[in-house]
Amino acid sequence: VGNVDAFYEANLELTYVAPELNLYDQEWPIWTYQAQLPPAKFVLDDDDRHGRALNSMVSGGCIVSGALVRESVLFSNVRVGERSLVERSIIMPNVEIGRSCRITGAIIDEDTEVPDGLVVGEDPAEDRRRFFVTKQGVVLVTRGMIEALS
Amino acid sequence: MKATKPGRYVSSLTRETVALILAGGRGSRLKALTLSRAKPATPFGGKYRIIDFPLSNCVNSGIRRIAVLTQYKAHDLIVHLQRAWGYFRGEFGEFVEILPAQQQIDASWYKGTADAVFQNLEYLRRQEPEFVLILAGDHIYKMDYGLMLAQHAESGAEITVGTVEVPVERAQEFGIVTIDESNRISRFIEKPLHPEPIPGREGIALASMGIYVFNAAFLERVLLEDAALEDSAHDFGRNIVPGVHRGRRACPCLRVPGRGNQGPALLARRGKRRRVLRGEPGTYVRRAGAQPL
Repeated sequence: VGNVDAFYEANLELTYVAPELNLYDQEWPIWTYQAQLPPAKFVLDDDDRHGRALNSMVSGGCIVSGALVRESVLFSNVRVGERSLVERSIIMPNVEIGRSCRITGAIIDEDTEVPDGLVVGEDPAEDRRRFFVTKQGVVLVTRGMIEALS
Repeated sequence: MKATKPGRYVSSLTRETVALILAGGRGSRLKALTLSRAKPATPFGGKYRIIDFPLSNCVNSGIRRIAVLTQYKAHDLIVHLQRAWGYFRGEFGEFVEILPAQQQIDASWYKGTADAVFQNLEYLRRQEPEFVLILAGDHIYKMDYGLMLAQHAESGAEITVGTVEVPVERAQEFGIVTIDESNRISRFIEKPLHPEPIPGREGIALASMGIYVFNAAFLERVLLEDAALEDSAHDFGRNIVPGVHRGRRACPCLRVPGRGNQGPALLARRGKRRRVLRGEPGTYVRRAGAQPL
């Protein structure tokens, strides 16, 4: 993982049907430390709020509440609030995404609280002004950058 | 050659090996992701840290004497190593230990990857390994190091360099080796402007993975020599490996099977297009014991 783009791509590839790096190979397990966390949870199934994750990896302790997560990796203890959309994004541990956010093609760094209604990955100029944008257009959002907004 | 049965033979090689994982670099190219931690400690794949990959490869390969060399922003990494890798049993001669930069030789911290190992030569001598496996702590891949050790031992070489095939147009990012028919390295250039393809393989070059097997005695000798050089950056890729193949004993390379632009360098960028890959995932993944020698 040479740079942010490579880091993004390598994580995203894990969500593919048969990625090159197979984490599910029991003959060659990858060991790590895992905190004791409750199972990932997907709640709400109203007319306009469905808690779902598709083509994604969702770790322990996550709650996707009336939001749609697509082609993304959610690290441990992530919250996604209702009517939010997370697409092709890498959400690092302990991130809280508020309501009605749209996050596309982004990496949200650890411990970031994404305020309600934030849109990332749709307006490159705006993203560049507020966040860090890689050569290939991946938007890196950190806690410090969010705090600097308010 | 020591033994008769292949399985037993490889396990005796892995037992004679100490792995050193270099995890002290700054990793500034990951930007804010490494603001407060070394790159090997960066979370990856939902619940892992990057360093879990070389460490898991060691354990899965049967190498259970492992030291991690740390320097830059090491706290997060050390906490993870203690939690995730602290269960090894000293009684069985196995360990995952941390070797922080501690001005062992003089008043300098680790000046480069080779200097980091040089400063721990005394430690290494106490372990009395026959082979030293040098690994990078910030690569994500799966590999059976036992096969590399077996090739190393069979070739009778002092050093073996792990390599992977990359397209020539991307070869400028890597240390590129040129090999002869007998698989020996005839040239090693770090980030060459005009990378040489593999003979007979248009458009494909062999990139060093930054993975080396050294005979322990030989490693000590080249590190002592390098330490005395004032104009050396004390770096394995830039100073040690390009130097050793010249006029010394055979320096073969291990060609890790992989398709084109994959392998550990793996994560070097690959364009934006989304690919759903099918078939056997990752041919560079080799399983322990699956290959007779």
